[in-house]
Amino acid sequence: MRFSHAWLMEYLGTAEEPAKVGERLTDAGIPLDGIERRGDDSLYDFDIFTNRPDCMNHLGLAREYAALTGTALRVPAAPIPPGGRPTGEVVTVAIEAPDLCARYAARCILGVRVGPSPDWLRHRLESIGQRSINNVVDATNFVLWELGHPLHPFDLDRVEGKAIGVRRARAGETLRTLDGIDRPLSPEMLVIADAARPVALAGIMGGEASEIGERTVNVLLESAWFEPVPVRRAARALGLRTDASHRFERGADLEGVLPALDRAAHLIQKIAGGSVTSPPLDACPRPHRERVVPFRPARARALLGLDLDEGFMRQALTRLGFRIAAGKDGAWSVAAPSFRLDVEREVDLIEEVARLRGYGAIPASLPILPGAEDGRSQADRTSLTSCRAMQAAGFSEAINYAMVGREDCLEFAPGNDRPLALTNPLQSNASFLRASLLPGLLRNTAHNLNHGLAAIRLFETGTVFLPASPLPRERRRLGFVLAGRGVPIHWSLPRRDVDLYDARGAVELVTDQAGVVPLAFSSDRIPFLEAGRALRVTGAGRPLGWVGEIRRPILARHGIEAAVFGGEIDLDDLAAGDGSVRTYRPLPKYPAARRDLAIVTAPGTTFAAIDKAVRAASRLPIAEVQVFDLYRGPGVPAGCASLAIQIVFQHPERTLTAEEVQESVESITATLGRELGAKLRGMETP
Amino acid sequence: MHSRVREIREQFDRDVAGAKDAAALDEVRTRYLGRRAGLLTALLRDLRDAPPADRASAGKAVNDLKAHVESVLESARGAAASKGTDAPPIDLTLPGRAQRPGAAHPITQVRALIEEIFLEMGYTLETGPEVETDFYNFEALNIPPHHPARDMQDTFYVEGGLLLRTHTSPVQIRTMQSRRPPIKMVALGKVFRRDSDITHSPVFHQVEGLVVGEGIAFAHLKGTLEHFCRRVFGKELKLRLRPSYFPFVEPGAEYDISCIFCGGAGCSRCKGSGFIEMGGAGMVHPAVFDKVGYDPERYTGFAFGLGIERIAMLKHGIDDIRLLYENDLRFLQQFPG
Repeated sequence: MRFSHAWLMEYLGTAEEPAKVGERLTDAGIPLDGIERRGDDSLYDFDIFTNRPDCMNHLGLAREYAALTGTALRVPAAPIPPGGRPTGEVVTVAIEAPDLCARYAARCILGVRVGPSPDWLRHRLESIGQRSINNVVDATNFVLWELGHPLHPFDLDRVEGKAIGVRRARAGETLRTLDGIDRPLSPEMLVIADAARPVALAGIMGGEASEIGERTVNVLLESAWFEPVPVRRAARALGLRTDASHRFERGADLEGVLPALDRAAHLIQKIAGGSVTSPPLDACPRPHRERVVPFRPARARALLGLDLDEGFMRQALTRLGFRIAAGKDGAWSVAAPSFRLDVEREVDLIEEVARLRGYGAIPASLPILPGAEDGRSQADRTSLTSCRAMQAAGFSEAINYAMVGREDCLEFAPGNDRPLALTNPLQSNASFLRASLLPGLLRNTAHNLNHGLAAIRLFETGTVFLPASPLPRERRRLGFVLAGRGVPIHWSLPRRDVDLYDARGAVELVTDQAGVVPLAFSSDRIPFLEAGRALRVTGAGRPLGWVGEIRRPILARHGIEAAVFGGEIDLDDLAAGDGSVRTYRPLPKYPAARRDLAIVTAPGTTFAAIDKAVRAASRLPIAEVQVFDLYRGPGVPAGCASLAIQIVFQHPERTLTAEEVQESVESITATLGRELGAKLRGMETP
Repeated sequence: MHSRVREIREQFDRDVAGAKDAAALDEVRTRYLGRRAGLLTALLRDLRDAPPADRASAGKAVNDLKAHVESVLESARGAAASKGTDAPPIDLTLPGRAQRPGAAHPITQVRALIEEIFLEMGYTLETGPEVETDFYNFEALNIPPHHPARDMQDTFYVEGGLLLRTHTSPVQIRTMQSRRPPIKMVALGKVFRRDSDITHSPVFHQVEGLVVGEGIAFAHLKGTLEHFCRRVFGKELKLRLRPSYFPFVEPGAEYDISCIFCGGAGCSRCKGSGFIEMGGAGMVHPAVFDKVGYDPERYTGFAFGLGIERIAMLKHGIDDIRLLYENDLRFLQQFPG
């Protein structure tokens, strides 16, 4: 909010440097956003918090500065000569909605000459970026920026019946406001009406019909107090924010009504002539009730951790306009000035004394409280372990917005046809809450491929949202994608692209690091994955997620031509099965025996079936069965595979003899042949 | 005989010195110790023909020579082996081979640092839902409907009268509802505001801290923030608190650190002020304690907040917040860790 330095200084008895004023007010909670030299003047831009409407004007700011520095405040005079016609003889005021209007005061200035404002007035308004309109309007605008109270002048001769009613709008009523727009009104809105129709939106803007113009001779000047919330609602509903509504919705000063009225009437008479009616009309169904707040100096010291003496606190509050009386048990009874609507409780007063002392005076120390033994939850730890595993596998971390388009949302959450919608999205393609991390990761994949990256490995951990009541079900998930080159460019490594086994391997690594056993994959039809390239993942008996190759049409929609593999794991479920705290298993005391078998499988035989058959057929305990070579192609019948496996035999209590190992191998090869139709290609002993 | 022994010894010493590798040493060995044609073998054979008077002394000389030859050959062999001169040459300038790990997002890295600092101080890490009710996001934080402070936080609303949390402060309320003091917690997570430009992202990350107990004072807030900021940005920095307004704290404050670029002298990054804004803080408002059923006479507390993106951007010199959400690998991989 803009303020003129020269204008501000009118109310202070001293001359100050603009920079110093800005610094002092910033330290006291009225932060300066900027300062600009303008000829002889300086223009401040202060950030006035919503709880301090009393500082949204020059006198209010000067009052704050005077309290901070102990300088005197000069309140402008507003002498109204006595002997004018009583206002009540010229106009009547009836407040029909006292719940929305606590006070309505008025004076008339009869016989004015509307014209341009004098230079001093025009300069003042223009110095803070306000436009000069005419002397009468400028006078009221000046008072708004001087005292902070919004006023409204009507052309009295256009007020039907010379009767003002403060009432709710009636259904179907409209008002053409000063900006020339016809506004439909509703009964929640408060209007100022004459005998026939609304003439102003209370606290927001006047009507065009009763606007002050060149032909105006008699002015009706309104100074009122309107309830903040209804003004705010009406202003929002109409999309009409004005300097007046801005102040009323934050809370105007009920005791500021008459001083503002008098000040403006005085100025209008001075610059536009005419005679001011006296006494004013002052309808006040709800007069100001002084707020008295108890204040304990000892409590202030304890809450701040600062040894403030009572003399200082008393002086600070008094300078700010508070009145102090003795209360019970050494407490003070502090009466807040009418313009300090923000002061409701003792803590508010504690802030006042701290503010005046300066927060810089408060010492710094650390609290002594028992700390947590372990501040992390299991879910946090599992999530951390998973992220580290993904990084170790070469995946970098992405973070995406939670908002996605409808199609993205539906595609990766089959069965959930009612995704959660935002009612006021920023963009139409980001109007649903994600039910999967994949849409964001695919967008990132497209971005990276489009920027020429040849190897994409990205993962994200984040929340997905599933419909539930009263709040959606939020799940922490791990999602990942892979595309492009599968191995780093290196002179010793053969080139290959990523495939399903890179994706599956990532899941195996994560679950292994989290100690989730047993882990199982089962082939399934998953709508967003290519048929025959889709696996469900189960860990420790819980469904954990899926892994597979993303369907081509989905990729095409994201503008991706390359094959993309991905997966998604529920981290909350993973955490529930977390077994990363492991129990020691004694190291084998006796050597293992390894045997390699090369077999040609029958069409359709899976590794899982071979693994199972090997373990079942062996007469000796088996520690591991590993595939170390896989070949399909010329020399191997179509549909078959040439597979080289290594079997590790390991007995816990003795060294195995060559003969018994050989017996087991023969039993295994016989079983593989009999049950799976596999042919032995050769056998080697390393 | 003695002169022959001397000649052979001299010849042997020259041959050993001239042998460049293990193969050459083997040749030397054969030449002197070979069973059939070795020079020493021949010498030993010739001893039989020596006059009996000389035989003893000549025998000793030949045996001494033999011991000398064997020991020299032994040590020369060891030296040759340790030189490894057998390995064929390779190009040592070629790059090595290692699995390059992926990078954690810079936001996650800053998050981890902040978590570490507060875990060390005995805080718990708390979480709360990202889709919230009006009660937790506003009302319980002393922001009733139609409060002008709601203007500061442009809210995304979700069907069913819900909203996306505009700050991590609702976690304060949920934690206080589910526990009794003393409480020392931080909540780190995503927040949402309907705003998007070079410095505003509709999704960003916040840290919320809350300490509640008996005798907690503003001075403790100051000490905590000072410790935290110095752990993040360095021991020398100065902390400044200024009065500010947030409906859920009173007294309220904003806290700044002395500019990390100019040390407080004033530069373009701090707009000449010498300070950089960090976040908001204050003493928990008694109205908030009222909402969660804590006795505000018995318990006091402080709360603070800050933006994680802001710290990441300051730390790494990132000037556009949108870079943090593009997930360009060329960007992410600049921050290994």
